[in-house]
Amino acid sequence: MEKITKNYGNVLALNGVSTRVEKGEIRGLLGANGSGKSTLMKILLGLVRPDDGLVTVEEVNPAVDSIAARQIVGYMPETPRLYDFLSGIEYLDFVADLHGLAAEVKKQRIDEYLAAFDLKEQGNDLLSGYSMGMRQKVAICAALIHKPKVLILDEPLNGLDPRTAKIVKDTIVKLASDGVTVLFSTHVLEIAEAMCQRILSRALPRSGGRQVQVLGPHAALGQDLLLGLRPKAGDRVQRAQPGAAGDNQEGPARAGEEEGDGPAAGAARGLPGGHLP
Amino acid sequence: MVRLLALPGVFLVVTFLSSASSGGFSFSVYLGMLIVAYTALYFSMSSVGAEGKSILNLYQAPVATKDFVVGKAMPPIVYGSIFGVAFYAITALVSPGAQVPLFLILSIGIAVEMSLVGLLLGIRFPNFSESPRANFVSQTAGLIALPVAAAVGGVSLSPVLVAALFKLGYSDLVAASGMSIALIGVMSYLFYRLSLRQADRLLSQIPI
Repeated sequence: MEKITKNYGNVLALNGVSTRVEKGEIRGLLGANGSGKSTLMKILLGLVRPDDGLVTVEEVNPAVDSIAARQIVGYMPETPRLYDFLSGIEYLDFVADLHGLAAEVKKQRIDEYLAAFDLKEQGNDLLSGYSMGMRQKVAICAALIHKPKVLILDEPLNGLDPRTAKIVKDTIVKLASDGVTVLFSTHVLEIAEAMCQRILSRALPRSGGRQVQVLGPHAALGQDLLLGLRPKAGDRVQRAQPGAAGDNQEGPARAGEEEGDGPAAGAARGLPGGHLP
Repeated sequence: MVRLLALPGVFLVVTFLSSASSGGFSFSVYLGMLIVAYTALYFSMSSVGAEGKSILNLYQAPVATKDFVVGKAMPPIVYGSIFGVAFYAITALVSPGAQVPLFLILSIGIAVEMSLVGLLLGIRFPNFSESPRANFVSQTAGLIALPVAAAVGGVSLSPVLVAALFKLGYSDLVAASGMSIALIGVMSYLFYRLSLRQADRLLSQIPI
C-alpha cells in the first residue's frame, strides 16, 4: 500500500496510508471504531476504490482487476451477511460455486472446514437458527473455501465465546504458518496483543513496550489507525527499547499535512515494509 | 387471499371463454403476452435489490459483470417463459389456431426482453434496505418501470399489433411476427448492453 487516501464526502477515512505486509505474516489493524480499518480492508479487496495511492495484492491491483484480487483474497466482513434460508452446507456450497470449485473439491473442503470449526452436526440446519458465533464460523469457512493466499478478517473475534475465539485464533496462526498472509482488524488492544507478537507503537501506554506504527493521520476523525505486526516464524523478536522507540514513531499527524511528509509516512519510512528494524 | 385471487381468475376464465366463443383467434390472446411481460419485468426488477445486505456475498466472490447480468436475467426469463407456455397451451386447447405457436414464440421473446428491461431498472435503482421493509427498487424505478416497459414492448410488438388491428391475413401475421421477433432481438441486445454497463458501475464499488 502506498499513500492510500480515501474520502467519504467531507469525511477523511484514510490519508496517505503506506505499508507492506509480507507473506505469512499476521498483521492486526488496531484502531478505534470509525478509524478506517474496514475501509482499508475493502480497498484491498477492490470493494472500495481509493481516491489516491496504489495497492498491490500479490502483484494484482484490486482497483484495476478486482476479480483477480477476489480470487486470491478471502474476506470475512465485520457483520457476515448470510442467506438465512440456506443451511450451512448449502451456503458454503454456493460460495464455492461462486469461486468455481469442482464438485469433489467443494465437498471435501466443506467437510474439512465444518469439522475444523465444530459445525459438522449443524451443517444441515438453516442459518437462521445459528448463533452469532456459529455464523462467524460459517463466514470464516466461506472466506477460506477457495484457499486464499491472503485472508482479510474484519473483527473476526467479535461476539465469540472464548472457546470459539480460541479456535479462530488457532486457525489464523495455523494459516499463517502455512504461508497465508492474514490481515485482521480489531478495536480491542488485548486481542491485538494476544494475536501479534509485536505491535509497532509508542502511542499506546498499555502496549507493553511494543511498538505501534502510526499509519495514517486521521485528524478529521481525531483517531489514529494503528497497526500491529506478527512476524513470520523464525523472525527475530525485538522489543522496543524505552526511548529508542521514538526514532521510528512520531505523534499523530494532523489534517493538512502533505502526503508523504506526515508522521505516518515518516513511520512507514522508518519501518520499511512495516517490519521492525 | 381467495378474494384477492378471484378477480384475475375470473378475468382469465372470461378471456378463455370469449376466445372459445369467438370461434378462433381472438384479440384477447394478447393478455397472455401481458402476463408474461409483467411476470418477467417484476421478477427481474426486484432480483438485485432482493439480495438485501446479502449482496455482499457477490462482492466478496470473483463474479464477473457478465455472469452477474446473465445469472440475474435467467430466472425471470425462465419464469416468464413458463407462464407463456402455460397460457398458450391452454389457449391452444380452448381455441386451437395456427396463430398460437406464433404467439408462444413471441411471448418467450417478450419474456427475454422484459427481463432485461427490468434488470436494467433493478441494477440502476436498487434498494438494498431491509428495514422497516424491503422495497427491492427505488420509487423512481417503480414509477418509470411500467411506462418504459410499455413503450419498449409496444415498439417491439408494433408490427403484430398493426397486423391484428387491420385484421390482416395469416401470412401477413407471420411476416409481422418475424419483424417483431427481430425488433425484440435488437431491443434485448440494447438493454443487455445497458445492463452490463450499469452492473459494471454497481459492482465496482460496494453500495452498502
